[in-house]
Amino acid sequence: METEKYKFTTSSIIDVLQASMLPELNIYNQAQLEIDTPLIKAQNVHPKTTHEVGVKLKLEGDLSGEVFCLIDTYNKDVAQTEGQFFKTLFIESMNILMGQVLTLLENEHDISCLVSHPEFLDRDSKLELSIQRDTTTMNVGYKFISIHNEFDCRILFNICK
Amino acid sequence: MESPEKFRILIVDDSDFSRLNMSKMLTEAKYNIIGEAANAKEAKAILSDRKAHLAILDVVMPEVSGIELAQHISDNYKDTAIMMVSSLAGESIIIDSISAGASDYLQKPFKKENFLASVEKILERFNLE
Repeated sequence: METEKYKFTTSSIIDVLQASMLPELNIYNQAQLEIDTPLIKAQNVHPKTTHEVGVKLKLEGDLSGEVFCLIDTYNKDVAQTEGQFFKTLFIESMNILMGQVLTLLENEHDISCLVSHPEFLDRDSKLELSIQRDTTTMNVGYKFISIHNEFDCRILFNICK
Repeated sequence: MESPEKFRILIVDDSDFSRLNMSKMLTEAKYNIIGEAANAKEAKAILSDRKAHLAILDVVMPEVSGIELAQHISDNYKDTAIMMVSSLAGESIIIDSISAGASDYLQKPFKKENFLASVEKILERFNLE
């Protein structure tokens, strides 16, 4: 039997995502994510700076679109030796955060999505949002706290209704 | 239970951090890691060469998903138990994983004691004498 696709309004997308954002998350005692600014509709999306690296995830299902998770390394000393570990820790942290959010969406709001394997965005990558008429872009801020440093992190949900 | 070093475990996860993390937990508990794979292709190559008592699989991986790999292992390696790990833990994915042959499903991030308890419980079925 074909199921009817979940119908969203802009406010209902924001409401369910707001309710599903975890206030904090411990990543194997190696990092801590703490919400810094609540999820809101993004009026203007700042371009990605060369100090930001991140991951892009694609969503398919009741919610479709893309998620960009960007961490700002400006003025932070991520030593060469821990650079690779830091990168893998950050990617896994975003993977876990998104997985937990999508699980809450399914279990609490009956919204089912598939998420892609994360695509790494290096310093030179551009932030290319696919903007369509029925796209809603939302922004939430997190602190990413590792053993040695604290970073600002912005997560952009670019969701098609 | 048998001593942990008798048990042969394969880890399959596209996350470098996650593979390292699970490998460290299992090695500290004296399990025998026979290989680590970042995708289904690498996992199949290892399994064609080495017997595993347990395959620990991530769900979201590029090209072939962990659930598809679980089905392949269930169909071709009857003596290999399967445990799924993922940050996703919606009802539908858990049901699909169990249907594909997984004995247990653990949501990331997990605590070391819960991870090792799940591994131990699955491996209890094997009598290696």
